[in-house]
Amino acid sequence: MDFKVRRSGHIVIRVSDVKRSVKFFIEVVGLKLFGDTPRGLHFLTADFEANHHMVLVRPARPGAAPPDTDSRIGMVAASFEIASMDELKRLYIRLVDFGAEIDRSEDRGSIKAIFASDPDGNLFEFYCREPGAKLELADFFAVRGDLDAELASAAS
Amino acid sequence: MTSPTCRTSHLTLRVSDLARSRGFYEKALNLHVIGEDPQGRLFLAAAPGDVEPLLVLQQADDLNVETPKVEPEPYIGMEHFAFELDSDDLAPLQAVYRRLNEMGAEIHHTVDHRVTDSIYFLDPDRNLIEIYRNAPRERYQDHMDHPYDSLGDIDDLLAGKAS
Repeated sequence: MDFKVRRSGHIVIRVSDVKRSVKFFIEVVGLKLFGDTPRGLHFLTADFEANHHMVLVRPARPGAAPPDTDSRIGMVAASFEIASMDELKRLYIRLVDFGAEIDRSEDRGSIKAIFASDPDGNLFEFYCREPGAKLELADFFAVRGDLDAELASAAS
Repeated sequence: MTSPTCRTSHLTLRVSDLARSRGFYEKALNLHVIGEDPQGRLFLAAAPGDVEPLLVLQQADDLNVETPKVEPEPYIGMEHFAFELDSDDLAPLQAVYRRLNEMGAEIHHTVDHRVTDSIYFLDPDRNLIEIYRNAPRERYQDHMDHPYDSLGDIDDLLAGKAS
């Protein structure tokens, strides 16, 4: 018997302030709270039928230090695909309104991406694909420019 | 099924030993390297012909840095990242369990989560990774009111022992 991975499922993060992080993933990223538990686990997804949870937010233990996200071994970024460029622009506006730290934007051909931090400094990539364009692996890394002007005009 | 406005795509990890982590994920999850960028980052996917990566590995420049913490150590940040098997049958998950044991990988725990059956294991840098199969649809639907309970370990089930 062999096995094969279908897709990525979810990321679980320990956070310093559950309320603030849940607010970020609902109001900014656009996920819905599907459930929570007495221990403070919050299950978030865009669509329960498609995936029972995409992000699980839970409280860090007392005394936990924020991650050294620039150099540590471990997570650099978790990437999410957004449905369209319009959605990505709306997400950008919500990130700005929330006061989230926006790391950079990237035009990579058929993929347009924004990198931004959650309230604890964990880096998330949000990208969309150009409809109908053939996806190449290089579209995941070959940066042709940024989207700063386009995003700024969407936000104004 | 409605089309979600947002879905999980991939995880990028900074690793202490690129070759070691590559070998680990190729074996443990049957991932395939589908390419490498000019910075030397490796892109891994579920099948050799895939274009979208599930995992990106990049070599750390500095090894004298923070490493992943595992419960019960206190920390803020990624606790684990989960991958879904492409079959809801039990046999492929049992095959992963056998593979991890053959490799000598450290299995953190296994659990019946109602919506999934899951194996949690540590990669060579001690990142906690989950591999799961979705529970049969009836079980999933039956527990919509509290879908993520932990109903104990599934070690015997995964090892193929009668419970």
